Parts: sequence; structure tokens; C-alpha cells
Amino acid sequence: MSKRILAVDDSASIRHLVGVTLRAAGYEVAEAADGQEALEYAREHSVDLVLADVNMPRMDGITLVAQLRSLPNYRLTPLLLLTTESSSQSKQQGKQAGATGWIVKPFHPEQLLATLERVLSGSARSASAPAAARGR
Amino acid sequence: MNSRSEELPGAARQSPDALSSALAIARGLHQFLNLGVAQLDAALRESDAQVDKIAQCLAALSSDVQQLESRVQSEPGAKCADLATSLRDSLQSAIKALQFYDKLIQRLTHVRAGLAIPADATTDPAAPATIDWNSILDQVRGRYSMVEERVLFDFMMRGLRAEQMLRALQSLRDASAPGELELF
Repeated sequence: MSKRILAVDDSASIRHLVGVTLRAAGYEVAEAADGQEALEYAREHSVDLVLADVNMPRMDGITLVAQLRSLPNYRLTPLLLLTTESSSQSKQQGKQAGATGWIVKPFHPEQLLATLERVLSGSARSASAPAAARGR
Repeated sequence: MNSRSEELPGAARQSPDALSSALAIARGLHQFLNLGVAQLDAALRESDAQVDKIAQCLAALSSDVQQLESRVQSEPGAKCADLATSLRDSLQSAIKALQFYDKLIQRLTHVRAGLAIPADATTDPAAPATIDWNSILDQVRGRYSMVEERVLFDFMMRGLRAEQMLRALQSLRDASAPGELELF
């Protein structure tokens, strides 16, 4: 079964470009226009990875990450931030909220796919590891 | 026009305090206008370069599709792996270049804020006689979402010319590595 990625960005063009890239590689892609919409989607559906922008109306990406991490189903889910923002201060905020990683736009499709594959394979290993080992 | 701006043409007839206040407003607004010019210059240059890349990708796609059609017609069983690779490369380059639009919209939104915030502050009749320019500067800078915008803003505050700011931005861009994952 293909992995489901939730692409979150208030820019329709970016959602479209991410969607085209990921669908062509066989991923199932769900889209949300802001953090609030993404959170509502994530509560009702299972998502394997979230790829979110930072600056969005209603709920920003860093708040979305923090909210998702508080949900039991998303404790180990890879949550990546894809943004034009590249300051170390913002990255630190993302890290503290529980993000898995940070990608600065513009993304290159091949590079993005390699990143997702890498993060998803790491996530699968974490999920299958014994709880005691994960806690270490 | 607001009452403060209307003081400017007849400023010579105003009291020294009113004249000094009007000049401070003019100097403050002049700074923001210069910033807006530099921001628009940077956005135009970068957008133009990305649109040029998109045009090149489309030209490459068109050429590859023509070759593909020609090869398939003349040799139905022909292998087209090389053309498929070339088509995919052009598509990926176009996807990367097209993201300029998202960045452009963000920049223009911030340029608008950089003009609207000081404009509102100087036209509000209820605003205090002495305008808090530092607060306005903080409000404008707080809207930025890109390091290069903040660099441009900070250079402007140091009094550098637009060309010098653009050169600094180019160095910043050359040193950054967009698309790479930083794992936490």
C-alpha cells in the first residue's frame, strides 16, 4: 500500500508542485491549506508523513507540529517543515516543537523524494523497534 | 492627504517644531520607500531569472517530445530511455523554478506591509505627535519570513546603497543550500 503524505501549504502552487512530485513517485497525497485544516485531517485520517510550510494563516507549521506531537498517533510520524524561512532561530523553534527536519524552499523534486524515502525508512525502523529501545 | 503631509508645502510658515516633525516624517518615509525599491529590484531580478529557466525547460521539453515522436514513428520498437531521462530532468527543473512564484508573493506581501505600516502610522490623526520609528521598524521587520529580507532591511538601516545591498544578498544566496534536509 502506498504511503500517505499530507502536504500543508497556503500556496496552492506549492501544494500542486509537491502533489505532482509525490504522486508521480507513487505516494498518496492529501493537501491542506493551513495548519488548522491539516490538524483536522490528521485527526480523522492516518498519515505516514507530514510536509508543512511554516508561515500560514490560522495555524502556522510550528504550531501544527506541536499539536500533532501531542496526539498519540503522531508521536513517531515524520513531520518535516518545508519553508522559505532559514533562520537558525526558526529552526530551533521547529526542533523544540518536535519537527523531524527542516527543508528550505525551493525544493528539487529528486532531492525531496530521496529525503522522504530516507525519513520514512527511518520512521519504519523506529516504529518496529521495541518500546524499550525507542525509549533509550 | 492627511494633516501632517499637508504641513509640508507650507512648512516654512510653520513653527520650528512642526517643521522638524515634518522633516522627520519625510526622512522616515523616504527610508521605507528606498527599502521598497530595493526589495522590488531583488524580487524582479530573481523572478526574471526563474522565468527564464522555466522557458528553457519548456524549450527542452518541446525538443525532446519532437524527437520522441520522430523516433517512435520511424522505429516503433526504439528504446527511449535517454529521452525519458531528459524529459524527467526538464520537468524537475521546471518544478523547482516554478516555486519562484510562492516566494514572489511572499516578498510582495512584505513590501506592501513595509509601505502600509509607516503610511498608516503617519496618517492616523490619533497618532502621537512624535512617531515611534523604532516601533514601526520592528513591526515591518517582524513580518519578514526570509533571512534575505531581514538582511536587506538591516543593510538599509546601516545606510548602504541598493546596489551594495543586492551584492550582499547575492553572496547570501550563493552560500545557502535550498532543498537540503536538516535533520533534528
